[in-house]
Amino acid sequence: MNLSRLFLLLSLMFASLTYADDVDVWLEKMTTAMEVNNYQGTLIIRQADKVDALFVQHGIDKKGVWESLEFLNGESRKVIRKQDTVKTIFPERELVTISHEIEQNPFHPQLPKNISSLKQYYNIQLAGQQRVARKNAQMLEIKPKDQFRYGFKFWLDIDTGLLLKCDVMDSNNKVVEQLMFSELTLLNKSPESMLEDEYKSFQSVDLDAGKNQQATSVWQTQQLPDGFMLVRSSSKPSSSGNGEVHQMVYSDGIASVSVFVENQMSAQRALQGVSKMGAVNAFGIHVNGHQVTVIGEVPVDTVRLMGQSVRHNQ
Amino acid sequence: MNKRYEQLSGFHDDALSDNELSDFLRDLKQDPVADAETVFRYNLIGDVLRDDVDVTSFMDISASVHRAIAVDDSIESEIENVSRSINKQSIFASWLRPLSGMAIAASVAMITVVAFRTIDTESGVPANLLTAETQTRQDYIQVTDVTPVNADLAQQVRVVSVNSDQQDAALRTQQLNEYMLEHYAGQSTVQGMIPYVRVASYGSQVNR
Repeated sequence: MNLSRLFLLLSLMFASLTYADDVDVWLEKMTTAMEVNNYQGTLIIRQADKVDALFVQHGIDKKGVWESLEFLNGESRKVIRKQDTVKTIFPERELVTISHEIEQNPFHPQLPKNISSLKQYYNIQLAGQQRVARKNAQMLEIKPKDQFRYGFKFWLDIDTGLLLKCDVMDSNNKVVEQLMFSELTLLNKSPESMLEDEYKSFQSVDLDAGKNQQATSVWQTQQLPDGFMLVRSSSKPSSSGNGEVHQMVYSDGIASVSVFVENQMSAQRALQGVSKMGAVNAFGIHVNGHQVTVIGEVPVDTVRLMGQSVRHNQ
Repeated sequence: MNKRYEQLSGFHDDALSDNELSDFLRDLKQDPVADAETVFRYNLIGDVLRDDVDVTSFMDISASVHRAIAVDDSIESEIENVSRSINKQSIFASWLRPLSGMAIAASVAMITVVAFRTIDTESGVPANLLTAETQTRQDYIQVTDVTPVNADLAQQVRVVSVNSDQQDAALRTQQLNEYMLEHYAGQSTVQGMIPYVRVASYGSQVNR
């Protein structure tokens, strides 16, 4: 190999490394963007034939990062995420539902430490630049290496790294879910959040009442797509008074799937077969006198594969 | 097409002059929700015309959509406007006519709110087109109610087929939505706030 060819080879290797670094830099930038920026704006979400508009506020105060999502159409409702608590407020019904996260994680806890893991199952690359919500955005394409997960396109604000738009794509590159800020305003300080006094008198329902966050399930999902791991297992009383419902959550770092198992429920409530809503698919099946329901933002083949492989550990 | 639509169209196409852009931004604060939806609708129609969106999910309301066209001239205006925009981008005009039906379907789909819906993904056939015989399969079909947002179009949109055991479907939908809330409430993946948007989306089913 002569010197010029060696130089060319080294240049290509260096360019390749630099490109990979760029991808990592953008993923890290996206990760940290939500931990350092205050903003508010209007977010549009499209799931299949359903479109909603939300007013989003995101702030960082002395207690940490908080976020609120307020529905602008239909029934008034607002989701407030603060520390490890997620509250959904229904003003017209004077109702507040409360649920808790298992860990007090940042918004992108799988990153950046799992970037290399993600690359085993996704091709991640930078694409062009486009304008979204009056901001210049860098496109990031995340394409799955198999048919068991969706692909993603992220549009990230070039200045801050904030996610401005996200397309979820199926294996035919068709958009199955889309989120987009139609306008976004960066703020110098945390926006005013909804005062707790405004909903203090509302009926409060704890969705996690009686929940065992560390439950060991006697159920097992025997077939998982590569990269999916059990990240959480819990049990709680069924809302329909049907004994306990076990939940096992599997994730590859981007996509997540929940497997729910509970005693055989009435035929009216039990899902048999598949159901879909935008990027989210569900599959239901009877196993050993129990109802198994699998739900996640993965293709239908994945929920079906997992659902059909659920077995009771003898 | 009214002035606001012209502004939004120009904004969507990056075709506003500095003065026009200034006027547009000044007016934006007056009704940001409506404007956001209109901008999104332009994007959606554009996506459909470019064959860049899964239109199969819109198929089941296509019949009602055709009835709705007559009462919403603005949709036709938007189609024409987006078509002009795409023409400028050297897309063959001959493609537009057959695709415009899809665009209309997509546009009207936006004004409906549909809960979690069971479909036959094996055949891709919408539930309202299936025969009773087909519904005896194990992966059987269920369609939940459809709630029109725009009262003017209510009569037309209500023609979407709802099968006889609607009550069962409602129970199943409620069960799925409870699972959905559980799934996303404790979510922590690379997708950031997206799971919480989904929680919000499904939250309306709680304790109904």
